[in-house]
Amino acid sequence: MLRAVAIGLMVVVHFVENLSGWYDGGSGPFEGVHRVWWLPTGFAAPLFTVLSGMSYRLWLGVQMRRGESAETISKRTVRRGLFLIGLGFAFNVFVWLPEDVFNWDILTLIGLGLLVLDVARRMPDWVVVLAAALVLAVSPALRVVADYPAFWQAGYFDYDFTLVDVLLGWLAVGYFPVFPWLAFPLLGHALAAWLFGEEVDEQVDVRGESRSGRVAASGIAGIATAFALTVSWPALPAAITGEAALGWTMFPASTAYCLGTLGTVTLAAAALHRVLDRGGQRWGWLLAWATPLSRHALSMYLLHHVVHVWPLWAWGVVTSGETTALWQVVMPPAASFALAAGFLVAAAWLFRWLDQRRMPSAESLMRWVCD
Amino acid sequence: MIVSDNDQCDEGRQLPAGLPAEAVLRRLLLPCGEELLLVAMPQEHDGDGQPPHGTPLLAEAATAWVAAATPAATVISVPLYGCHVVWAPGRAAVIGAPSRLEALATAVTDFADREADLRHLEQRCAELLESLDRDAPHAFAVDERTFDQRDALAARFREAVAVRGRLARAAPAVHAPPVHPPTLASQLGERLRDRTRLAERHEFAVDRAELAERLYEACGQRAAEFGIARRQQGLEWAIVVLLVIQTTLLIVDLLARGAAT
Repeated sequence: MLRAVAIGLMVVVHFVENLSGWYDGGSGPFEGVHRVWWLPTGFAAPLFTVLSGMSYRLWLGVQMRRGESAETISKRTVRRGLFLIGLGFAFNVFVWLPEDVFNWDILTLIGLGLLVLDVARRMPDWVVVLAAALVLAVSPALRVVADYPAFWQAGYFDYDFTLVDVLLGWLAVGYFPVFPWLAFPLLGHALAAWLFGEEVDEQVDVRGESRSGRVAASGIAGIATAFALTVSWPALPAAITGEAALGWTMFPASTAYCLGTLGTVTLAAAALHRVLDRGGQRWGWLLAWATPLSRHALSMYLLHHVVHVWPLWAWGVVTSGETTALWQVVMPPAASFALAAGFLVAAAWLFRWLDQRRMPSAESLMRWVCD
Repeated sequence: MIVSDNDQCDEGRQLPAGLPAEAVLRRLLLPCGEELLLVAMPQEHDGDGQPPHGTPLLAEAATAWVAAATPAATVISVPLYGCHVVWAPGRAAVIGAPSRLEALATAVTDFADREADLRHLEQRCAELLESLDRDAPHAFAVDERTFDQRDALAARFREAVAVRGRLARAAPAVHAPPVHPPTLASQLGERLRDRTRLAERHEFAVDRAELAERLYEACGQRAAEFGIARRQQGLEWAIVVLLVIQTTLLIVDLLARGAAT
């Protein structure tokens, strides 16, 4: 369900931002001169990345229960990671055009996350959490060292095709660099173990409820910390805040932003686990529509870009000879929001139809190639 | 131990048909927790000290009644110096002169208690053996999934130790040498022990409990070693993570300097 929410949010945000919005690197998700104020920008990517870690943990449990060897699991994980990284580069080339091939978007991050999770699964959970905390902690320093503002022009990641820029973009200054975004799949991996535990136990109901309560409490703590950081940020000395550690920003992903979105995802996961997973058949109708969206989240991610970005490029070339001429100015936000809603309904129907006929999708292709 | 006699017997435990009215039905709660229904049937002997002609009929009726409680169990029937004792788990009947009945009843009750105790221990050994094949690999190697089962393994180890302890406590009674000079009660006890192979069963049970104890002790050692190794491995991983973070800081610093120059 949470993955369906994530893909829904992502579709709406991308439609509105690419067709009507305006990036402003220095403002928060709900404010900014050119930003559409009602758009919940900045929550879809954390949801996706945390869920990639949670899904991996659940997938891992299934593989182990099937008796798959550690070597087989590693091979599948690495192949899936490399598949997503390759797909991410292809996506950058074909959707964002070749000059953005190394913009380090979310697919390459999730692919890298899978490679790292193949190592992290061998670690105790407390080490995984420690690694995520360290990643979060050193990220502001890395941005300062790498001179983050020098890579960003008018709210976009603007790099040269040099090894240094590409590597710095991957590590610290791209759209979704390893630091701090790797913390999200790592924490998702640990969160799944904390939230679900050994679900085969007969006493799962009693222990599960207390567990989801503690998980929800930690989510609230994360949100509260983020709020405190955001409010107190202007009052903190510059030596602490640093040049690139702003109050609440997605680009760069500030500490407050990371903690706030992690808290929100944790709280949502705990709440939905309690309400939906333990709600029996009461929510069957909702899950019947959410499941195809969740199951085909990767296909949805690719498809929704193709259906709204490619026509935008084509129409820009036809009307002005410039591919990006109409980007973010082609229609008012209400119209792009309506298009996004229409796309979601059509996609839910399409993927249900595909499932009924067992038609191939990006996910089945990945399984065919990697498993 | 005597819980009730004829007057207080509840329905279904009335004096069986075909037995003399003088017979007394007792419901006894044995120390091991099991219940024993005991019928004592007094029978006057003839003038020459021989049992009356009706004894075989009484023994037959008593055997039928004893066997009715536990049809699957073997009924032990022991004629002894003009008396007759019939026993099966849960029921017993003693037939004899009134002066001997109390001694016979005491001997049967003692034996029934030991036998029931051993039977319970055998059952617990059988349950341990059932999980033995499944748990045997854990005595050699432990992984994450096995480590999560360490509470269950520890519980089985405690059970094996508890069973061995109970068997050790039961050993003196089971392997007691014959009493000298012999009495009617001691001879009855010895015969019942022989007929039910109590000593051999006790030895087999000890062997099984030892096997389970050895296995689960080894499982416990493996689990403890795995726990220690895992803690050490966690610290090693933490050091690796710190080194990776430090290396990344160094690389970013070098790259940034390279970009600046």
